[in-house]
Amino acid sequence: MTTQINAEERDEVLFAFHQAYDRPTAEQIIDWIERYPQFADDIRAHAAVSRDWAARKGLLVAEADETMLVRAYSNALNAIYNAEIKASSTAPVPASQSFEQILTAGRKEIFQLANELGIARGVLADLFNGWMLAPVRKRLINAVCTSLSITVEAFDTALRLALQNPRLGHAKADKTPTVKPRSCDEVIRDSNMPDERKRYWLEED
Amino acid sequence: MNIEPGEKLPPDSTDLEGWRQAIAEGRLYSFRLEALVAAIQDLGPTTDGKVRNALAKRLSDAMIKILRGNVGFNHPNQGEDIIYRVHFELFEALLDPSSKDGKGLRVAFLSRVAFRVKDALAVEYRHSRIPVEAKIKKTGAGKEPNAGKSVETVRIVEAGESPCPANDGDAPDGEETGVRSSNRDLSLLHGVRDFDQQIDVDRLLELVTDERKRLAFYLHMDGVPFESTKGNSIAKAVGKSSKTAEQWVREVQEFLKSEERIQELLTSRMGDRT
Repeated sequence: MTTQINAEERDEVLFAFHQAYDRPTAEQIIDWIERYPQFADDIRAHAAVSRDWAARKGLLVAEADETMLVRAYSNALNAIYNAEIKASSTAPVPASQSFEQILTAGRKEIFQLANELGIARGVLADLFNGWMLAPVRKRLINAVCTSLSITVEAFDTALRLALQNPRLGHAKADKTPTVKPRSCDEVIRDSNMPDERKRYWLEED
Repeated sequence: MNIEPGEKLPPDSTDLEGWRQAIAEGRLYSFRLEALVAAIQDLGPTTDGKVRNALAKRLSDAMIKILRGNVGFNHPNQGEDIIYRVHFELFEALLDPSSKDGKGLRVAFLSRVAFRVKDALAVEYRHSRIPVEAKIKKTGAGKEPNAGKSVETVRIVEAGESPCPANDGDAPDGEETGVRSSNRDLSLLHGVRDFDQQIDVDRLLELVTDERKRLAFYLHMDGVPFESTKGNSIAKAVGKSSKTAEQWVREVQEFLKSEERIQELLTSRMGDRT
């Protein structure tokens, strides 16, 4: 903490010195050294560089060539990229969303998504209703994530929420609604998809 | 915001559409750099890439031109290491509106860039004076390897001494290094300055790597005495004894005189007189 304060104070003193004099004289250097003895060596070094620059005033100045401009710009873009990553990582993370909320946000219905992916509507319904046990086939996860523009983490969160709060089936007259979760492969095999599509989603192709 | 003559009023820093239009019309060069800093900061790193990159390019170019103009070719890798380092650090700070330099660049771009490169140069000069030490193992002949082994630290380059010819002089000697002698040398240099040919003594001075010696020399050129009981002196300014200050100035003078270009011109001058 003390080091940080010293560094900040050093910066402030030296910047003020830099702004005050283009060509510091002995009197000015001594005055500042007496005022800020803790930065005496820095003040002297800055004074020397200021005098170097003052002595060169009026002489031809070296110009940056195209290679240097391009390389510097590339470095600037790297700095921007780093800032972008930092900004996105510090952005408020949206609260965990269920599959239903994700579908609503994406303005899609299950049947639309099923048509888009070429998968049986029942498979997606089982997945979204919390009737499909993890692990889910990677191909299915990727397809859903791509179509709904969500990350795998968001998918996992939504799947966990679905399994914790499964949607109950329709109540029968003689018994309470029940949920019978099945494995991903079982859901796919029992679906009404052609065998070729089943094999595709089972990653057997 | 004060508008300089010939300068156009920039769009508001958060006016993305305004900046898009300004870029499309090629008007970025008519705006103050501080306005561009404010825009890139306020629009944020995730704004429209075309706008952000155009602002970054203009600021990066301006920054690198200032840096190249102020860092001599006498530094390692022709000064490029310092230039790229300061450029990257400043650009990172520029993208962080809460940082000290981020705020400073928004208010006074040129001054802040110049300050940072000046600081980098000053730090480099100071670091270049850190003594280089090597530990040499001394083994006594005819003794057991471990018994006779001792470690001696040998200072290859003394602290405060640069390995340039200017340091080859003798130790300070009050009688031999009087002010009169120094003035005589300086008059020679003043003579050199009067030549029609452009003599860049100031650039040669940069070859004196110890910034304290250069400072002492500049102050000597200002006519500041080495020592003074009441007023200002070179000794006080450089924080050394008057003897050391005198020796430093003499070393710089000797170094300048020994430089081939100056020697040639002095010879040519003498030839003109005969």
